[in-house]
Amino acid sequence: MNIGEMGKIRNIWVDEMKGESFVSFFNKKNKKNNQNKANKSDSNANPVKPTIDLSEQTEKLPRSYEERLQLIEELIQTDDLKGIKLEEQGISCYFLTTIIDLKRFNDEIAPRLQEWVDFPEKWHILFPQAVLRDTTADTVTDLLEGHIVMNHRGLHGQAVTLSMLSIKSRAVEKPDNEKMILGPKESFTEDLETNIGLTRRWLKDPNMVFHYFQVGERSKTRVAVGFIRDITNPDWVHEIETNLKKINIDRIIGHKDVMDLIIGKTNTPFPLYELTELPARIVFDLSEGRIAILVDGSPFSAILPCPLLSMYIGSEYVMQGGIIPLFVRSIRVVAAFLALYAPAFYVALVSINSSIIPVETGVVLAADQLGIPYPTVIEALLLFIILDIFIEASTYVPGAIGPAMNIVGSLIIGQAASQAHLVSHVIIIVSAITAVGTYVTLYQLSMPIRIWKYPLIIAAAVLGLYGIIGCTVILIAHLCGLKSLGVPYLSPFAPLRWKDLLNGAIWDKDRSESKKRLSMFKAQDKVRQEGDPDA
Amino acid sequence: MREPFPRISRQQFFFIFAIANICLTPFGFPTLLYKELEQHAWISPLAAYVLTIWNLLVAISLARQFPDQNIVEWSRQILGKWIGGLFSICVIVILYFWGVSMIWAFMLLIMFTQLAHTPIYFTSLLLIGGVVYLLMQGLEGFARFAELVFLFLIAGFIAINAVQFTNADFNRLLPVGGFPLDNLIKPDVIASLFVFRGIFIVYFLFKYLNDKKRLLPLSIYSLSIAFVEILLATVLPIAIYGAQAASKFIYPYQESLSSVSIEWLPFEKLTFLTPMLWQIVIVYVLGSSLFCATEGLSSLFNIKNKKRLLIIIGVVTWLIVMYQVSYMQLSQMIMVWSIAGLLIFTLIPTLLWAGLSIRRLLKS
Repeated sequence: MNIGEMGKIRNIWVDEMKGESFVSFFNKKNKKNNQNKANKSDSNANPVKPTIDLSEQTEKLPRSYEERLQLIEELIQTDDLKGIKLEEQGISCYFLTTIIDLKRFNDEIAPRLQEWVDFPEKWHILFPQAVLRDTTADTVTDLLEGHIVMNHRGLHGQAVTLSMLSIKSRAVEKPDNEKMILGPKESFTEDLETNIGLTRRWLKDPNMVFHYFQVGERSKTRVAVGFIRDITNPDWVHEIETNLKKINIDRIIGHKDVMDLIIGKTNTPFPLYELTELPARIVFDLSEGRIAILVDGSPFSAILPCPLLSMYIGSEYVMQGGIIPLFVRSIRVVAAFLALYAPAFYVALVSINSSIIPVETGVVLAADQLGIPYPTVIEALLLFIILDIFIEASTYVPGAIGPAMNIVGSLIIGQAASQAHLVSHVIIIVSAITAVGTYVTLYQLSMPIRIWKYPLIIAAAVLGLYGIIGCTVILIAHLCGLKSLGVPYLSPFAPLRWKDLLNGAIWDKDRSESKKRLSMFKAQDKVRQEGDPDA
Repeated sequence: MREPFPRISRQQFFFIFAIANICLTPFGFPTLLYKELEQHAWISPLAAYVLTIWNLLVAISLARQFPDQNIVEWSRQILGKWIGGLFSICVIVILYFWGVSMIWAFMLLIMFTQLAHTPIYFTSLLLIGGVVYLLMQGLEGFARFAELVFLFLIAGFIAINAVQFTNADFNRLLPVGGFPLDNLIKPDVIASLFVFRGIFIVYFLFKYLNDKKRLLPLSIYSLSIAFVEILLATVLPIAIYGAQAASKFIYPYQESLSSVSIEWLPFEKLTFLTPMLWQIVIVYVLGSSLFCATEGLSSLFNIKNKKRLLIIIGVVTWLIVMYQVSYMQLSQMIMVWSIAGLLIFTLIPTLLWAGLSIRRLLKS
């Protein structure tokens, strides 16, 4: 499907939406998707079905007023369901007290109910934003999504629903994970609409579109796929949307579930999608032809495709010229290398390949090793496992305890272990380099570095420098085999794309000269900048 | 979004081709030549270079006539099922033995160098396992690996050659005249003409190239990189030690490198770097060798599951290299293999090419 066809579908969609609330329309669309999905894969065994499956509640609402009320109360047996019944007037309102704005209900709905008593067909004048429902599924779905369901004895087999959704959400705050020193300081929240709004503030392009999907038979989580229509490769959009439609799971919580299901089975610790909390970052990526996936309830956006190098671009982007960002990115790459290789090199040099060290250095290392009761590899493995425990502790323990544990771990235990000759002084220096180097890059990337250092240490302990090279071959082979949405993970180094490297992938040599988008993202509109902006 | 057929770019082909042709040749190759040709040893790589350009011309011309097939597939079309099959088996065996012999050579190099405490069987296991894993990522994965590591290797080659110039005296290559002509027809010297055997992977890689234009010049440029490296590996030990002294060494290139002292690095000598450099070169060589063997066998016996075949070949390779050979045994094996390689990859393709050309002329 090309972008033109997708545009037509969008237009049809927009036309269909007129006169209906978004959520109700969305339910219909999703129901169609589900039906298509069911038709396509009726041979698939055991789709995930809740006990009350709304997609099966296709029958019309009962004509009798009392039966309608009874039906709602039977289907939604929760204590936060509130039913206000005006028995004499034959009017009732049902809503979930936990997700609606009660003040609005009191101010806007309650005073008009009396006027509605005698003129049931004038609901659209009294409640202009309301919609009329005639099926059980639509009515109950509306109720679960924060609508007031209003019944009138005079409306046979129909109910009026009006959105009053109100869930307390966090305000837009400073980013926690991606620190910006000279850049914008706003980050995403858990609210999908707010996040899309924040993105739209940065990019007022009519071609930037968001397609909504509902994922999770029980959770009904909303997922938005964002892209710029005339830039992004339509095949990628189609692939992601197709995969989203295929998802048939009970619940989705955050990005992990959605992305795991979109990407499919992977046997790699390396992130195949990038998570960011910065709206500005999304705009930067969308304008290169990448795709953003936002999930309701997640304060992040996933970005696809995700080559390794793109994760080394961060807040330094806003720095002047090309040299400073290049320097910062190079430092990050060096730090990652140090974090990965410093422990292994230490083990190799001390335990296997000590003959290549000059005598003076060898004497210093031997003196440092004196009295340690186990081989270097055990010493290294013990220390790095403990280091990882401290890192996890300082990351996940609440409040001020984390930094305190970090200090206890790094200073007190490190020093005590060294004084007790349980570990050498040099390995503490190496572990400090490793710990710092691990976190200079994106947080997502720190995990594979932490994991891969262990095989490298073991290979170095057994085979020395040959082991390190052998293990590196396997690591690079692994990375060479990875692709994110069809883009080789090591792009633009392998396959080598010089122009991309000099046009912003690692070095934005001259912004006035970088007129084309990065070719690795296969953008439809390849030109980023026409002519010379200085002219 | 999986591509139905793997594709590699001309650039990636260039990188694989250059390093596969360098191979481990700089180590074992010059020693035998010094004994036979003394300071004229450089003639041998030069002659091999010229012959290899001819072989390339023939190989690319033949491959172009069957753009969607490898040598195993098209040879059976031309030579018939049985003779073609026999020729294919010879091709596969020679290219497979290329990888095996280079691992043996590498294991001997490990024992020789100062990293002697390294357990060599584990090293070969890790290496073969790594290469099999790399090839299991697909040809594109292998090509990307070759592309990524190429610049590092070239920088390494420049580093280990450039430092040797500090001790080199090129007057030791004189006098230029007075070739020992009788020695030129000795088996060792003839076998050295097969030194650029990496070019024959074109018979298997050709059909995977996404752009087949101007392949001959590209291949010659790539071959020239290998030629320069091998020429330097031949010339520098003579320039540093003289031909007679160099002929006494087992690995003269390694010895000439150890003549250079690097005082501003926290290491004794830079020589420890070279085995690691060759370890990466081996990945190219073994990768190419195992790829050709897998492709060849799967075409010959119509085996669909290439990954399983690759794993079996990898295990067999490891079992073979468990058998330890001495330096002399390996040299003998390489000599016989090289002469057989010249017959299979120079003589027969040339005859085939000539036959096809004549037939085309007659038809037209």
